Parts: sequence; C-alpha cells; structure tokens
Amino acid sequence: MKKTDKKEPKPEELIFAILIVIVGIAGFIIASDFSKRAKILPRFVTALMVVLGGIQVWNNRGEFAHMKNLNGFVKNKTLLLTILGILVYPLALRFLGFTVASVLFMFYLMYIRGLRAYLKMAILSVSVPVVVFLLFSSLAHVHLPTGPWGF
Amino acid sequence: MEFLLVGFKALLNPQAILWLLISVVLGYVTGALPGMGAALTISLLIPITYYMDSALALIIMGTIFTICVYGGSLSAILLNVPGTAGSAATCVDGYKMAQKGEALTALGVSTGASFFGSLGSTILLILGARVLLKPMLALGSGEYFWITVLGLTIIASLSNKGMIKGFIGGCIGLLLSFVGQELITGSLRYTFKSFYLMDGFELVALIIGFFGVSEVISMMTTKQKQIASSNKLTGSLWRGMIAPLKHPWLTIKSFVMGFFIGVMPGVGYSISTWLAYNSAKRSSKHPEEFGKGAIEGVIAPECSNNATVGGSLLPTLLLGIPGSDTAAVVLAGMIAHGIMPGPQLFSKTPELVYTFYVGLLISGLFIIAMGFLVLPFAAKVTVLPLGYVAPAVAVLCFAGALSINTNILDAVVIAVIGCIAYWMKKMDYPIVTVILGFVLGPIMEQNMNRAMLAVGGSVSGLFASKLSWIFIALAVFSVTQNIVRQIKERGKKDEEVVS
Repeated sequence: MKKTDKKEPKPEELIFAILIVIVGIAGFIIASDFSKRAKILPRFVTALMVVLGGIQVWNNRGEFAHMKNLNGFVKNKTLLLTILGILVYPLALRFLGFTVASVLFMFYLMYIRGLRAYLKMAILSVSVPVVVFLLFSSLAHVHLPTGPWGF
Repeated sequence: MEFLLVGFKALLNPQAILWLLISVVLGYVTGALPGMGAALTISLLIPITYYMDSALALIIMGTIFTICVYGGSLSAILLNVPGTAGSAATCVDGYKMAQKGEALTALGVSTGASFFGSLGSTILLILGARVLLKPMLALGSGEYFWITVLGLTIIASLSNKGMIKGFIGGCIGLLLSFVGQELITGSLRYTFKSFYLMDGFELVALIIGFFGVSEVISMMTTKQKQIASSNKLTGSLWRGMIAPLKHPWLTIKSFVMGFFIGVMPGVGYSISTWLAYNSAKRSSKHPEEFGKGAIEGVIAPECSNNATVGGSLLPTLLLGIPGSDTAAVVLAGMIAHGIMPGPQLFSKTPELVYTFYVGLLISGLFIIAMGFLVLPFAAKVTVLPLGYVAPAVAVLCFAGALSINTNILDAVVIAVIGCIAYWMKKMDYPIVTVILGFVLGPIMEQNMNRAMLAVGGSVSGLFASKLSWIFIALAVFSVTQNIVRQIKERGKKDEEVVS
C-alpha cells in the first residue's frame, strides 16, 4: 500500500544540503594546512559533514524540480524587511550609538509588523533602549556604543 | 551541626540580610538578561566586597551564582532566549509550554526544580565533600574525552525530525568551535587572518544568535498575535512548583547528575543540563512528548543546572580547582579575601565554610520567594502583542552580545547567525545540536590531545583505562537506543498513514 499524503516541496532543503557539502569540502581542504595534531578533529568533522550533506542531497534530489518555488522567500516582504533590519542594525550601532540606533530599529520593526499606534510605538521605542542602556551600563558597567551625541 | 548554627547566626544581622536581598535581585536580573551571567556579575562585585566580612562576601558570591543560574530560565521559557548557557536545554520544552499558554506552569516547574536542585546539591556538598571528591578527580583525559563523546550522542535523541539533520547541526557546532587558536598546539584555525576570529566565537554570542535573534525573526513573521496560543494564561505556578515532587526519581537523578558533572573541572552546566534532559527523555513513559512541552523536559535541566552550582564549588573549596568558569571567579574572590582553598579551609575555619553553606541553603529558599513575587507578572509577556515583544527582545539580544566584549563584530555575528538559524529552524534542523557541538568540541579535542600525548601521541591513550570503556559502551548504547526508537516511531507513522 502506498502513502497518500502529499509532501510540501522544500527546495531550500536541497540548497542547504549542497551548502553543507561545499562548506565541508572547503573546511577539509583548509584543514590540510593546520599542524598535525590540530587537523585531526577538523578533518574528521568536515569529512562527516560532506558525507551527511551528501546523504541529504540524495534524499532531497527530487527538489531540483521545485527550484522555482524558491521565490516564496522573496515574496515574503515582512521576512525580507526583518532580515534587512537585523543586518543593518549592527552597522547603525557603530555610527548612531546604541540608544538612537535601537530607537529607530524598534520603531522600524513595529512598523513592519503592522502596528500603527504611533504614540505607543514611540514611547516603547524610546523607553526600552533607554532602560536597557541604563541597566547594562550601570549594573554591568558595559560600555555600549555611543554615537556622536554621547549616548 | 554546631557550625551550621554558627552559619545561621552569622546571617542574622541587618547588613547580611540586606546584602542577601541585593544579591538575589542582582542575580535574578543578570541571569534573565542574555549575555550577562553570574561570572560577569560576581567579578564586578568583588571590589565592592573587599570592605566586607569574608563570610558575607562568600555568601554574596554563592547567592548570585545560584540565583543567576535559576534566573536564566525566565527568558528561556518566556522568549526562547536562554539567559545563561545552562538554560538552553530549558528552552526546548519550556518555551513550548509557554506557547500553549502554560507559561506560569513552566515557570513554576523551573522554580521548583531549581529549588530542589540547589537544595540537593548543597546537602551533598555539606555531607559528602571529601568523600565524593577523590573518585571524581580520578577521571583522566581519556575518560573526559569519552564523556564528551557521550554528550554528543545526545544529539541523536534531540533530533526528532531525523538524526542526519541533528548530526549536521552538531558538526556545524563542532566546526564553529574549531575557529581560533587551538589550545594544545597554539595553531590558528579557520581565522582567515582576522584578529576577531583568533579568539574564536563566544558561546554566549552563539546562543543569543541561534536562539534569540532567530526567535525574533520567527516572532516577526508569524501570523500569531502573541507567544501564547490563547489570550489567557491557563497554567498554575503552584502546580508547576510541586511538579518535581510528582517526579521524585527524575528530580533526584537530575540533581545527582548535575552535582557530579559540576564537580568535573571544565565540564559545567552546559553539558549537565543536556545529559539530564536526554536521560529524562530516555526514561520517560512518553518520550514523544519531549520537545512539545513535556514537564519532565523542564524539570531535568533546571534541577541539574542548579545542582551543578554546588558540584562546581566542591573542587573549588577543597582543592582550589574551579569546577566551572563562574566557580573560577568565586575562587578569585576567595583569594582576594585571603581565603585559601584546601583542606585547611575546613579544618581551620569551618565556621566560614558552613556560613557559606547556609548562604547557599537560604538562596535556595529565595528561589521560591522570587517565584511567587515575580513570575505571575513575568508570565504576562506571553500574552502581550508580538509586535511589541519582538523588537524589545531584539534590542535585548544585541545589548547582550555587546556586553560580552563591547565589540560591534559580536553584534554582526549574532545578526548573521540568527538569520542562518531561522533558516535552519524552518527546515527542522535542531539548532540545539549546534550549541551542543560548540560546547563539547573544545573539551573533546583538548582531552583527546592530552590523552594521546600522555602515551607519546598514540590513539591507544583514549582506550587505556577500564573507565573509558564504560563510557564508550554508554555512548554506543545511547546512539543505538535512539536509532531503534526512531525506526520504531517511523514504523508507527507509516502504519498510521496506511490505515
């Protein structure tokens, strides 16, 4: 008797598996330059990655036909904008300082999540970074990045 | 017994009580905030304790250690962001319980389990200090190597959606742990001439990235309006707190495991919690519920991580060998106060040691007090709109990353790792296996090299002792059992589909 349930195409599984194989091969080759004792485990682990990644590529070989489904990622605007914000935020920390960058970052995330209560958003966007800044700097004496305005 | 009474009397003064309360609050807040942790908090307080009585200083350090480890479960359960490395295992089932609207129960379970873990390990510390230490320190590098291999076999049981994915995750973690300078040979690996990578990746940064940032992305993209599946919290704090009493053997097994692993220098609660979790899953009547909000999945790691506190303090007090990084900071604090660890600490100043034990016992009671005072309010985070929670968690994560080394690159690392982890989670890769691989990798490699060097570089160094073979057998048994279990489960699923 056959299974009747339909499996959702997941071409990203195949891509990830291929990436694992590539990383494994690259890691194995780079490990050749390490000293004798230092390369034992890295070579073992990277070889294992190639084998396991290869098995995953084989298990997902049918996904080659579903590669066109990959644009689902691009169509998910919230996901794209969130990832963009998360990747840009560390750079903003460097130039704007923790507090200002975090205020803008929080407001940005709330906006793309669909919130439109601007006053509440503004209050939260300002109060959370200020509280976090004070907590970390006074409790733990952690020097969080400050922008050109000193905070 | 009279020394315990001396210890209690030493705490009956306003200054001691005030500092005890300050330590509890500090420990809890820093435990809950990712990136801070007990080691950092204690190291910052050591200068303040210079002007205090040595016994009081020891109590402050012990209290912060205990409460901080417990505090890590707050963000682990409510936000899936472990506050400390030892709370990562709690995320697996604790957060699932919160998503079901049972955050209060989960928090209650962590409170009760932490209390029993702390109480149990303090009792073991008081009763068995010198007796227990000798056999634990008889373990050599070969045995430690196989203990870490045993730890890695847990990956098999954590991989509910396929062992291959779990082992790939473990390999990624191991590979990340190789970045930087190798400890025995000093050679640089996978640094690509970067100064930042020469020190390797920080565990806390990886945890924040893999758990915290990826969870922020999940929160931002989910259709759910809040963490909990319904607007009302249905759990019960009290029911959660007494849950460890309903699983007495699991509780006892977890705190004994946590204590003994804590005694082993360099192993720590990152490993004890996973071993306890795995053991709980294997001995459970319903292992299929693990990973979906099983109460035992919260009892085991929480009991174990608090028990590790007492265990790690045992070799610290008795031999001056810290059982963990936080115990190392406590040791530094002791030496700063002129308290030299060793057998003479127990013979010449027993009242000091017992005052410390009393402080640990009382901090266990404060765990319960924090539970009743703070948790009913904290649990409401799970019913707040995700549009407000997710950005706040994101800012906390990045602040936590920056608190490690005040380096922007740590923030970049968690951002990139968070995106990769989100992608892995979508494909059902268990990201906890990455953390496990990262934690165990350096310990495994260090002990492997030491064991081999001891016999002139031969692999036979790993198989030299009978104890090593016991751990090898346990590791093989662990993997085999998981393979058989997964084959059986797959067979059952196939039967259900056909019928």
